[in-house]
Amino acid sequence: MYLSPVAHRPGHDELFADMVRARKRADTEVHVTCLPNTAGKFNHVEFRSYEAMVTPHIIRGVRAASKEGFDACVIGCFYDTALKDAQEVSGDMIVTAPCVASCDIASALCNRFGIIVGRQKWVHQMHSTVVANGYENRLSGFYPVGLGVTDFQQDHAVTADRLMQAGRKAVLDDHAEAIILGCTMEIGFNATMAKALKVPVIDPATAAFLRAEHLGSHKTACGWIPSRKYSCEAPSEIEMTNLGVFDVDQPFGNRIVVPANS
Amino acid sequence: MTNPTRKIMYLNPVGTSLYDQVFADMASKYKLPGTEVHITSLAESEGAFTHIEFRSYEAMVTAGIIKATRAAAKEGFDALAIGCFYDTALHDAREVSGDMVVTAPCVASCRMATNLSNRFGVIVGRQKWVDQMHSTVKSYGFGPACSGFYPVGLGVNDFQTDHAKTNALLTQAGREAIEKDHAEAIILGCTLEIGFHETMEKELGVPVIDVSIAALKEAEYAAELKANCGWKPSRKWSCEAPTEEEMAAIGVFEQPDIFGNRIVVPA
Repeated sequence: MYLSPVAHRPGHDELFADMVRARKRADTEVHVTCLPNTAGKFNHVEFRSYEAMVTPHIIRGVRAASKEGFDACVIGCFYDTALKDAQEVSGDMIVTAPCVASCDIASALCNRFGIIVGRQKWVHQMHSTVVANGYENRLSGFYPVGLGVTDFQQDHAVTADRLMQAGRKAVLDDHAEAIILGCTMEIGFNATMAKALKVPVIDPATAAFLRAEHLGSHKTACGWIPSRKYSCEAPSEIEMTNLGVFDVDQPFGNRIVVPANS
Repeated sequence: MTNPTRKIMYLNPVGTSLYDQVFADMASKYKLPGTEVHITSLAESEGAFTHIEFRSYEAMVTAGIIKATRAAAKEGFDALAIGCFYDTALHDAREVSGDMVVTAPCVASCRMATNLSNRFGVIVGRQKWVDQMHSTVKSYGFGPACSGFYPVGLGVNDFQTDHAKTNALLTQAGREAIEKDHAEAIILGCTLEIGFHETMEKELGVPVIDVSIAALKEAEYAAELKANCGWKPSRKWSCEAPTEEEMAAIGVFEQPDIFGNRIVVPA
């Protein structure tokens, strides 16, 4: 499942469904989902307070996905919103997210990468996430382009120009050897940027989806499912039921099914 | 036989074919249907090493790994796994791999373990290995997630001689990692600890990562990303490769018979 932690709006889920159709293995079935309006009509979670508000709904969505029998789930925001929390209650289902997935891939392709983000606002938190994932010494820096999450897909020429300018700065001034696009809504620009900049340019939504597909396939092949020992212990089902907030409401506001063999 | 959608090489950086079939069996079991895997080892001319437990042994086989990496890249492999948990010569090999992605067991299994848990322990053969492997884990940024290293008093060549004994020692070390140091997953820190992860998982109740499988699957994943998204190694700044002209002039980078053995596991 690819879960966008925002409310449904026309065209949004289709962007990711199109990406999935282009990239998935033939036998993979993917559900592209988002949160219900009851979670708040968020069309971005740029603010920590916004993330805080959608976090319970991510937990519900992840639990619902796990109960439906999904092998893996992506939380589609480069903040990796609620990743550790969601991993705790995912049962046997893998949970991953764009930042950790992109850093994994970039560090396999180069020694030093730069991350192009929308606004300076995001940098402090994303830097903490990169550090927590162990990639601090690989990071050339963050490069804001002065666009919000909802701006990236408005005027593609403006977006492409700004991303390219930031990419050039990262590569030429700070010696980045690969670029990560630090927002899932920067989707659709990485291939042309890679050609122009002559370094790998990682689209984080694609990275997260492919990582989920990769790790999910190990469940059956190798039996590698999430640990439930010590810090990975999940709350008891009985306690969660008694608390009365884990399995309420519709978990998803929209769902596009991309079938296997399509 | 079908045309492969991706080609992976799993290179044993030793000068013996003694263990190649073990890894070929592993590849047959775990690879995707469209993946062709070549299990190779180095020519005996690189030294008749059956293990590279010592830094000096690694130093001696490093040149062979570089030559093998270049040969694999020229043959058109999509990805290469260097089959030693020291991740021997990984950065050096990446420099000359062209469009081929290079990975290795330590980095691949740490990634796998940190996806499945917050804290992992690494079961190794001998205390000798710990200092270097600890440095490697830290250099990848996984230091804080590592509960410790747990030697079982076996050398590389011992793991496959008495399976019952090996299983008992590995399980005992795994129990120590979990119960004393609160590991939530286990990494088997030598490619020849192969064949034990499933029974250990059942016994210990936590994920147990076989590092040769992790390396093979990481290589396969990298090959998929390359084909699917065009994500291949950077050649900018520190990733710059020496020129072909200079390497040719130096005269030691090519060796047609660098592989002493090769088992092809077809798509």
